[in-house]
Amino acid sequence: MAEVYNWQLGRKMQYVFEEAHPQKQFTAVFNINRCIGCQTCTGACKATWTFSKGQEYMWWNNVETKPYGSYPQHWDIKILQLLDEAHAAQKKQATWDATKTDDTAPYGTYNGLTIFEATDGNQNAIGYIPEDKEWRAPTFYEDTSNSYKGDKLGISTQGVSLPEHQTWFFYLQRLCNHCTYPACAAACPRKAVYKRPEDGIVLIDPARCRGYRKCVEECPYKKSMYRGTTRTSEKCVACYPRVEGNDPLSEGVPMETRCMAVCPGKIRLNGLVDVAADGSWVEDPKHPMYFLVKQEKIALPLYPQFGTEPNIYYIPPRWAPRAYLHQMFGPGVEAAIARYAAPSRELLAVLQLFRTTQKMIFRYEIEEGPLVHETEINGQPWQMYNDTVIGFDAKGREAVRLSVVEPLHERPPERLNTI
Amino acid sequence: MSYDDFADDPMEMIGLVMPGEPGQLEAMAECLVEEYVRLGWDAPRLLTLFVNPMFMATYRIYQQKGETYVRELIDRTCAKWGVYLNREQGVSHG
Repeated sequence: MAEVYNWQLGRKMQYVFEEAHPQKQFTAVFNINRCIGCQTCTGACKATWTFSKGQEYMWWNNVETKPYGSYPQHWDIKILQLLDEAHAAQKKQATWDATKTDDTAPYGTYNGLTIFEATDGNQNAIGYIPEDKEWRAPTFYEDTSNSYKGDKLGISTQGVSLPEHQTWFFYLQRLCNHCTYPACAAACPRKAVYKRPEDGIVLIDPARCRGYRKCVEECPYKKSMYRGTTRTSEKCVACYPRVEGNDPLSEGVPMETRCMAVCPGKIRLNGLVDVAADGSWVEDPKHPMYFLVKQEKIALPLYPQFGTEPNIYYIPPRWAPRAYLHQMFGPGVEAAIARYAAPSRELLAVLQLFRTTQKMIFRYEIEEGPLVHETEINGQPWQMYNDTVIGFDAKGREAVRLSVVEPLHERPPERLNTI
Repeated sequence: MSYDDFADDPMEMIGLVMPGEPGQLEAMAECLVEEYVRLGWDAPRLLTLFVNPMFMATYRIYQQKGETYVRELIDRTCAKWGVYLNREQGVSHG
């Protein structure tokens, strides 16, 4: 095992390979607060990549309703349980020390074990292989009623009562995190999994893969999947032809992936960030990803305690229990929600950029507009300005221009149904 | 086909009640009301979401917190966003 630095944990940790970083890193920010769970992303990914024989139960992108749903079933609960057991065996606590934070440790320091450090020596990272049945129903346990005894036609004679939940749930959008320290790559005995130096996308080389399923076992996010018809494992490829700028639509500049580009709720923003030799992000305050993740810190990694340094970031839902969110996104949750609920003038403008162009945005500028609204949020005065935000593509060309106040177009009564 | 035919089905649906935490119901209520007010819904229309038991989430808030709480929350949220919406976008409020 080598020693590598994980900035999300604020400390060095054990990993199979020596520390090495790509020039750029594929990243995304998902705003959970906006997601309506329509699964359009899921369908777009399915229709693009996993529509063939042997891929029927394979959903590289899925949206699950937390806390009830998960694909494969209970994946996160099972990994958290394995991690808990390892902590108990080693008499350690999985705690965060968030008292000291800086640029190299923005969420403080994680004092517990990662999935790489919790192993008993037989694996490179703790994990399990889900059973076939756990992959079969990607939305199972979501919005389900109590089971009941029906008559011979299956119809209840008594009527069915739904369980009364406390009023909260949220949608969690999931795909491969294209981790900085991928557990799938650490697991593979054939070294068939690799991280591309140009954009940090993690891929499986089908020519090297022999289908041992170690990546399926040790990816904590369960985003490597086995395909019986080819006897190889497959995973999200981050729509790399689009990211490379090879799609004719993009005029040679990187484009957002299919799942990002179709989002009707405008919850997703996809980009490439420059990575320094030490793995830190090159300071670029006018890059939307850098601004959201590093500067405003409103977008947080999913289960950072796993230790893989995932590169998909989430703006946590402001209505869900903080203890649950803290477990899922780490100690940055409270501050992130506070900043999101009362956004700064610049943040409000940058939030408009989500899902407004298929081209990846590499830089933004803001043209100041007039004050349009003053109110109070959480007892503090808050102003809203109708600024204009402009996004630029990889070649520095203007890709999109939006105002904070969205124009409202009302269809006249005489043409209400003219579609 | 009846569920009884799958008596040993490992995928049988099980309904569970998830625990909440103090202040979370209020946060949820605030988010819901704010969302609809910013969409341009007026107070009487918004109240129907709470009094109608078919809308489980809002009805639960109505049941637990009472009508006075819901009315005050709607009024407060309309005051927070309503003036701006009226002036800028011409959306009418009741």
